[in-house]
Amino acid sequence: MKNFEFLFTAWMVVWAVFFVYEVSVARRITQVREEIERLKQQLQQR
Amino acid sequence: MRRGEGRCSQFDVHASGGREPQDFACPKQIIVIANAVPRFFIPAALRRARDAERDLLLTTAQAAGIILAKELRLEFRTRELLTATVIFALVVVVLFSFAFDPTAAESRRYGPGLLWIAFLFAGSLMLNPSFAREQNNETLDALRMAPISSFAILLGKILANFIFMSLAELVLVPVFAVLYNLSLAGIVWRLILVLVLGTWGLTVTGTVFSAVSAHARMRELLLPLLLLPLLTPLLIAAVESTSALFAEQPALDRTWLAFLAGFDIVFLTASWLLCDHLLAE
Amino acid sequence: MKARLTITALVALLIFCAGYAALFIAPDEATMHAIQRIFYFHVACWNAMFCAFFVAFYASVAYLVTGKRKWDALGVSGVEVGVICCTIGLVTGPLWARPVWGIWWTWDAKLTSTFILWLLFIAYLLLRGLIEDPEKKASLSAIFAIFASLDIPLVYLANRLWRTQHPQPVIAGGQGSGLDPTMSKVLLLCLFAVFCVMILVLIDRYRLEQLRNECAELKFEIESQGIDAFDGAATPALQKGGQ
Repeated sequence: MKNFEFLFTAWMVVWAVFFVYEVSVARRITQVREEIERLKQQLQQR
Repeated sequence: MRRGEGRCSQFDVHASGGREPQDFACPKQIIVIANAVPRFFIPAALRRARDAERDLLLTTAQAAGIILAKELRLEFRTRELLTATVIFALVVVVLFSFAFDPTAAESRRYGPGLLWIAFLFAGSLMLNPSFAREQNNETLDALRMAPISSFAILLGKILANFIFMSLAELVLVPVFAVLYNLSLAGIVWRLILVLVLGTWGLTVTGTVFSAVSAHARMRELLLPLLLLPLLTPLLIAAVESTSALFAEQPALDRTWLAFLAGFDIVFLTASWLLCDHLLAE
Repeated sequence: MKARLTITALVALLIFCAGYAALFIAPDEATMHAIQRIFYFHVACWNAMFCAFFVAFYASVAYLVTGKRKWDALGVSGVEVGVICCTIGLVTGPLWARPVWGIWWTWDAKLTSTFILWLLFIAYLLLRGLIEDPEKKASLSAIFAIFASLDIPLVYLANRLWRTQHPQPVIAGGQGSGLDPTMSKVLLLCLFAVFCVMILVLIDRYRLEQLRNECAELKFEIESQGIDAFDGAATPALQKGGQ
């Protein structure tokens, strides 16, 4: 396939960017969820 | 405030908060007419507008005029902003001359672009203090408490900035024409039209974004960042119109002028619709 | 949770199908051959980007009208996802252009307009980052989003008017006027696939923003009740009547 490298790079860019973004959002969601749990516990303790 | 008094002084605020319509000295003529026409002749919306207007001490035009006067007075005390703007634009123009050595044909080709870029850069620096200096002593809160519409505040500042920008351009355009050997003969009025339309768009959006960035950190950097991408259509239109004027056969480019006018109208309307949220607490 | 997993699985399957279709089913284009296959995802990304920015515009207006925080959350999600799609488009574009035209970039109307769009919404994200007060952040960024969205058609119009006045070498990044029917089917499939991916990511980002708002509210509640947030024990001095 002619120009395969460009096609492959473009392909990878599309999915890699979406994937990396999704992963970072998911990671931040778990972090914030933990934070919320912690704060709820503090509130209950009081 | 007694009924029938023609003018209100600058920051008369009704401390009591209870306002009777007849306490208001909004233009006498309007009160007379509104009271004279029997209720059922005035459509409901107009009646509401009339009643709403009565809650304000001044009409938008009057209030904007007062704020404009304040801004002008403030600036002409020291004239520091004006001088700095003009000098900065001159610096930009000189720097561009180092980037290339303009022959007469090149000047005609690139000149308008340089001129408008210099105005945009100078403008985005000059428009910053517009709302930024209201932050210092929280004077914006005082303005908001006055019984005037928030569009009046915004319009007053827009008009003031427009006047400052125009004064700066009045100095810069002849200097620019001299430095780049461009003749202004025969195109002065048309050039003024293009400058007015372009500067109006610049000041409307710039003042709005000055209000936006006043609440942010790094506002000197943020304002150009917000403003310049937004103004690219204005830049294109203004440069094309100005180029048409500096061409061999000077002519007013109707398409681009219409585009400029459209741009101005769109953003003035948007500012009017959003001004309450812009200047909110 | 289960619904979410099934949806993700479905979308993954959809992506796989779209990818397979783009790579193998779509016929080879006459002049550009294999590299042309980028087109399917390139165009799909622009489509997703415009949808995301439209969602952001709608959410900004809704926020200013209603004042509910969820619209602000949707607004920022829309803009972020839109910027992501725009970045993908702006990167895949040159990757397509380089082997075909020999140049990475050109200042033709569409590319310039899209670049400005990218800059505008990056400015939105920067604006949000630089304002601390959450309510101000929401209302001011909503105002900026509305201005930016109003500017989009003007940018495209201005650039098109301008570039047709100064004709550029023919570069237009599209196909000829008629698409081969298989190609258009594959294009639709890819459009739908990328659109679904965009929606998924948008929903996730929206959820993140909602959770952050919830977290901030909890923190505020804790502070106002005078609990020291760091060691979890109420300090005696603060306990008496709060701050």
